Amino acid sequence: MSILSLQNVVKRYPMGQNEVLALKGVSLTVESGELLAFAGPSGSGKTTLLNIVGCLDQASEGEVILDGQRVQGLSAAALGLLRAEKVGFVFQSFNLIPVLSALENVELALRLGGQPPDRARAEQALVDVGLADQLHRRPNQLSGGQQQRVAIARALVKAPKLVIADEPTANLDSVNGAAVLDLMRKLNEERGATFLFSTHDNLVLSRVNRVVRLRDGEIVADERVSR
Amino acid sequence: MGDLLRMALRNAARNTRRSALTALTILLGTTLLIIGLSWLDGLLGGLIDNIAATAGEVRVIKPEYEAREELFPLYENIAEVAPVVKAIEDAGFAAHPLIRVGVTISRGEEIGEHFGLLLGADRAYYERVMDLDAHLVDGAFFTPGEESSQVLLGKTLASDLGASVGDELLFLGQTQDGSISPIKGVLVGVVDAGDALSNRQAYASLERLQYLTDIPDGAIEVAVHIGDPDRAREVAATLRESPALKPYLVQAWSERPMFAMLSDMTGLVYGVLAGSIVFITALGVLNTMLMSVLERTAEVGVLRALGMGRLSVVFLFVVEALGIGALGAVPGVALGALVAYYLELNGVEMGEKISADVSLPMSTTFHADLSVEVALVSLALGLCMAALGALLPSIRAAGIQPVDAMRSHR
Repeated sequence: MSILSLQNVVKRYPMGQNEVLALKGVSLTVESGELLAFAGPSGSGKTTLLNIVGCLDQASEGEVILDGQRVQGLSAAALGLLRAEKVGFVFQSFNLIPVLSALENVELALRLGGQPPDRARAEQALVDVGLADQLHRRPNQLSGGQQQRVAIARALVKAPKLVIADEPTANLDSVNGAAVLDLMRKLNEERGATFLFSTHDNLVLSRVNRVVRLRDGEIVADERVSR
Repeated sequence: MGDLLRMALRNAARNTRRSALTALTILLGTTLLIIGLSWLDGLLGGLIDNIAATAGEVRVIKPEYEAREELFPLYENIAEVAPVVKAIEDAGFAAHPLIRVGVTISRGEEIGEHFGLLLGADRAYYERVMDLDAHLVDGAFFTPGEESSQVLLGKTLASDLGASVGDELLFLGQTQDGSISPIKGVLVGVVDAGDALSNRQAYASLERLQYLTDIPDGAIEVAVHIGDPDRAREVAATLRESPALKPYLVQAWSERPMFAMLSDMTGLVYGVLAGSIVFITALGVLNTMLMSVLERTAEVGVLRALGMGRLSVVFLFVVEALGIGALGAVPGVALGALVAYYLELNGVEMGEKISADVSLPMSTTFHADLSVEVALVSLALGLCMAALGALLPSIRAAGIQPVDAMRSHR
């Protein structure tokens, strides 16, 4: 069953008097439970594609269907609701809220996702990523790897259909990067959540089961990898 | 709501130096507000008290008198004042018939070059209302039974005339039909009545003024003293029902056009003062909050990406500013109240010149009037400064698109 379908998606950005074509008619279908990486050099369109898929941005042309719902033409508020309900984000710079503890960061995501406050569930999410003893620490008291684990717990606590991870290992050393990726892979297998990465890190590419390569806004390869 | 509140308050403590500076701005703004507003209240309150002391909180006049009041039209008088006084006293209030007339004043027989106002009233008015017997700076108060041959002078007028206690003064006025009319009187005392207008007046008995103006049984106005300026309109309305007062105009002080205008003007100054302080302080807060929003663009983007609505973003920044605002406004009110209280107790002596050209009974010492209302208004406005200053930046923050915020962080 497909969780995501893109048909001829085009994205244009104005740049001064000119226009930049960031995506040139991308078509793609992602099945539920996939662990997929968009790979390619800088400027290839990976992040633009993730932004559109994650309902952070709208395509200029084409059709995007997320979990059976057509995304094109939705208002900003409706996009926000869809995003909060169905998409979890893991950012390159972790982007935790610095004034909240690990537990509060996860609880906030739950609440913003439209779900009732549930401290036990938030605690369990942090236990699942191996941070049982770091619940009440603030981001500045955690290592980079630990912060990214909190970010993963925050993304997964509301049980989203899709988790988008934009260069999740870019700010981590190889050991922490591998640990974080193994954790996401484990959660993917256990919970069946679909993970989409954007990366040019071989560490990521070696752990996903599908790699979509982009260049200059176009898909140049779509490879399935059996692990 | 709880976690938003927690985030907002913790954000306020994030950059302590900047928050402290913002709180200090609000502290100064609130301090200035409470001092300024207390000062204005004191000015208006002092003026009302002086009006009450000289003309009563409520007055009764002939309706036609008001239109030409500045010319002292003696012919528009209350010819039979006794029934009017009785009606007021029956209603439970003190009534004092008054005659005020413009005169030239001189010492001895020669016609003088000094113009002034001569007030005629009963002894009780001078004692209980104007409290002149307690404000003598030279000489004595009226001798009982000899009031008709004695006068008092305000200290400014006495000084201008070069008059001393014991001098015989000649007052040249006119009767109600316009004939020249003189009276003489011996200066028995010089008073400092506390306001410049009263210090430029002369004081004689009502009978003497009735003789001078040829209004043998009447007065120009009857001052009603109730002891509470705030009740003036209510008392005026009650008195209007009295049959004896029906032919006359019964006016609360606030209904007199000049003072109504003055009250409006004070309201305007009040608004401009408060508005200016709030605006300038809010600009300081705006600057700080704008910095916060710019610094936290990516963070706001994450919150928006996680599903936070625009209103919640506005709430987050406004509550943060209100938190900082409370830190500034509360000590600001306390500090301002201390200064205002000092000014209320001691006042500032402005000298006679401050009101020399104003035909209003303005005190020569300006006192502040600190009240709970002013303190609460200042506190509320202090918080308004914070909220107002945070509003534009927070609206800007709410407009941040998650994707733009993400981009700004890369």
